[in-house]
Amino acid sequence: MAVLEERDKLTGGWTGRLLDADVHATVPSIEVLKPYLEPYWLEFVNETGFEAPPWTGTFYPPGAETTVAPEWIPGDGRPAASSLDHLRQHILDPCGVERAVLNCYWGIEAVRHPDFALGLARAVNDWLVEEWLERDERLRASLVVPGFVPEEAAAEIDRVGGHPGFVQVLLPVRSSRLYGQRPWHPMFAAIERNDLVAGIHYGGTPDAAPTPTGYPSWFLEEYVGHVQTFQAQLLSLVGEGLFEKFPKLRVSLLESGFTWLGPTLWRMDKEWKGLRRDVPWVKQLPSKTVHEHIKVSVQPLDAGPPEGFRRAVEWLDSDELLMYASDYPHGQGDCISQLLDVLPEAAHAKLMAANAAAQYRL
Amino acid sequence: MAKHVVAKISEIAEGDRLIVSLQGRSIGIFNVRGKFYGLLNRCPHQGAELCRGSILGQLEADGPGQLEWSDERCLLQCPWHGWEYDLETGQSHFDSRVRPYPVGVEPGGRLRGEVDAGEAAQATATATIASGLSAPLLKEGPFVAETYPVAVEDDYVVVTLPGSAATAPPGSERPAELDAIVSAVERAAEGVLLLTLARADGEALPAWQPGAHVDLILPGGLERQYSLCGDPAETGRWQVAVLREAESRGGSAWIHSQLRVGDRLGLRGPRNHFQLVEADAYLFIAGGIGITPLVPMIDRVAAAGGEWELLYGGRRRRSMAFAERLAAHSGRVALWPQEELGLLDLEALLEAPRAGTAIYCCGPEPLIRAVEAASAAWPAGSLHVERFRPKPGALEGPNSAFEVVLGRSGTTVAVAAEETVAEALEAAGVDIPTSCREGICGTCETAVLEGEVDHRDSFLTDEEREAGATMMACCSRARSSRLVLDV
Repeated sequence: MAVLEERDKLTGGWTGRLLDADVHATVPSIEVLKPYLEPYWLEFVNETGFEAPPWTGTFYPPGAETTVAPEWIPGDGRPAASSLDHLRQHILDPCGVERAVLNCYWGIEAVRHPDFALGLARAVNDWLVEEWLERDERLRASLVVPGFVPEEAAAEIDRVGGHPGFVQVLLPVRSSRLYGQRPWHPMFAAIERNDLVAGIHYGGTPDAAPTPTGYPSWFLEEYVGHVQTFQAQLLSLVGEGLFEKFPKLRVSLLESGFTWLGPTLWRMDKEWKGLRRDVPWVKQLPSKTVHEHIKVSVQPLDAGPPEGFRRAVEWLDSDELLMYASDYPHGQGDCISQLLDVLPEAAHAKLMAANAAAQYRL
Repeated sequence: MAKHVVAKISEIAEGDRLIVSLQGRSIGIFNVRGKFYGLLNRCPHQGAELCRGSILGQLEADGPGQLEWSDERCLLQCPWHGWEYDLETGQSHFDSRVRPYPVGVEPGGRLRGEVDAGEAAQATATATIASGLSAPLLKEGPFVAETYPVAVEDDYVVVTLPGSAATAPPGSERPAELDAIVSAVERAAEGVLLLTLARADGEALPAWQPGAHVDLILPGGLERQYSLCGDPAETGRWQVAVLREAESRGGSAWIHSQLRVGDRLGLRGPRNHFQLVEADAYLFIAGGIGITPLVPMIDRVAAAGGEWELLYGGRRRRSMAFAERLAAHSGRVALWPQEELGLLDLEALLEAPRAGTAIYCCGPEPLIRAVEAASAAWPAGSLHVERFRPKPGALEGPNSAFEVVLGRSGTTVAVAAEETVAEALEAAGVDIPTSCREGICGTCETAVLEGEVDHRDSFLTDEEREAGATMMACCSRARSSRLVLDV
């Protein structure tokens, strides 16, 4: 009974085909990566006492519900979402998930040693293949890349992106510069070439403050304020003409929320009409480009009062934009039924499976 | 189709433009490297004087940084919001489109037989307009081009318009337009500006009576009606109060954001459909900016020592224009800010009909309807109302199917009840330029050769509707079973 209730909370009573566009894998400690580190980096880790990138705790403060929902804290002393057992027990089995996209956000972009960052990224990717992808056919995953040298990110994408389990490249939303800009193009060329999705996800480098005017004092400000960075990245991708240069490129916004998207797209369209000449490579209404190339995972849901929420969803002007995600193990509090309630019946199957299936070729 | 000679080709140098008035339309004629183009001088977006915008080359890019500039085709950029329109087709990069008019060059010898070029008139089109809204004209308009003198030995720029020049001779269908200067702009209340206007030539303005309104003609030809709210005894100046409309289509928003002291505007009028009649007593009911025509009425009745009272409702106290001035008449004026007191209690006010009392009501449509309902038991003729706009529903009416015959090819196109002429022609592969699709912008004006039009636009004048020589294909329909269009 308890299991059934848990499942309903996650899936809103939906019993059809279910794809989960965002579940997390946590690197429990550097120990699990050691078998996958190249000899030099293994020696480096042992000599320096490196344990983890210095940064992850600020995005996911231990103990916060947004880090781990209480019901998903394992009783065995291991970190949440750090093993396939947890994921199966909490999500894959009870919810009847057909496919889930696994995102391992470990904060590698905070490691300033560029070669070590690449070494860590390679180890994480090989660990994901061995310990997760090869062990459960329901899983697909994002590969991770170092965040400073786009050409090196491209090389890692080419190295491992051909594995059938990898469907996406995880890009933290706070990057050393905006993703639409030209220095990043070699990385996006590799993403397109390997037929992967660029998944822009909450988190990122300490080089980029979470607000345009620096660091806020409190986690509340930072967590809520992250939407600004998502907006800036979205504007950059469209405004820089990335989708003209890479017409097959697909992008997912993950853990970004989406209620801000309708007004932002509307405003982009409005301003483009008068400012097109600045960006002649933007050949059509920006909202059209976004609808053609971008999808968004639904967490955090930001459901709010039902009537207001309904209008925000209608303003997206598409039922092919949103992808169901549990965001496991992060506790977002809102039940997906609130979104199902404001969507027409015909859009339910798209939200719960078809949109993610199209995005990730599942 | 009416052909208009607008200039000798030597009068519009390369890179120059001319803005002329043809059949009541303001039209820009451009010479770009010896080729001539014509566009309606009105941006379909918000009515800016489009033809004063910059001429720019085409700028495209296949990808980031791959700029391709070409002046093979040129773009006209609206001076208000930067929207770009192809000079030849009037098309923007999205679904806005401005009306293009064919412009050709013809030798005088050929023209003399074809075009009724009259005497050399006092108002021929010989001014060249520089780009930019603030750029001065080289010569004051109006630039009426019907009567351009034609000589056999010269080549001329000829513009073709739908309809015929004879159906709408410029100036004949409307009262004279006065050139006015804005002498003061004051804030009358939250969202309300009080404009003081004087004649540019310093002469006295026409006399008016309380209840009168005037047309303000804004740059780009946008016209808006405002009630006069000053003192009729002051013949040197007029005053109007302008509310910034939340859904402004360019008129009030432009006045609020752009108009400055010293600017020039066109003025037409006054006209009065809301005259103050003799009565034993007056009951004035105003809603919001509807107070404006009532202010001079109250001044007159109060000065004559008459009996009156005013119930003045507004959204909140600080948005109610003239409230302080009216409050001086203590005991006769009830200010009723909705935020503090709720809706006007019209039932109580109008419950008992009073013979000999005239009710004057002006305000938003719901208020007028409520007053009409509450005063239904009053003696006939007691209630006098003025609405801000014509009754809603210009676009409404019975929609039935009819046939359109394309005059040039003889093809017949069926227009179903649920589609417009423009939609039916588009489906049949005939391009009719459209933009607003609700009869406001004038882009889709189409000449009518036969048949009776059911006009539903807000662009043509009453006289032009009556003449029936053109229609707006985006919204107007047919009263007859068949229309023949010059398409």
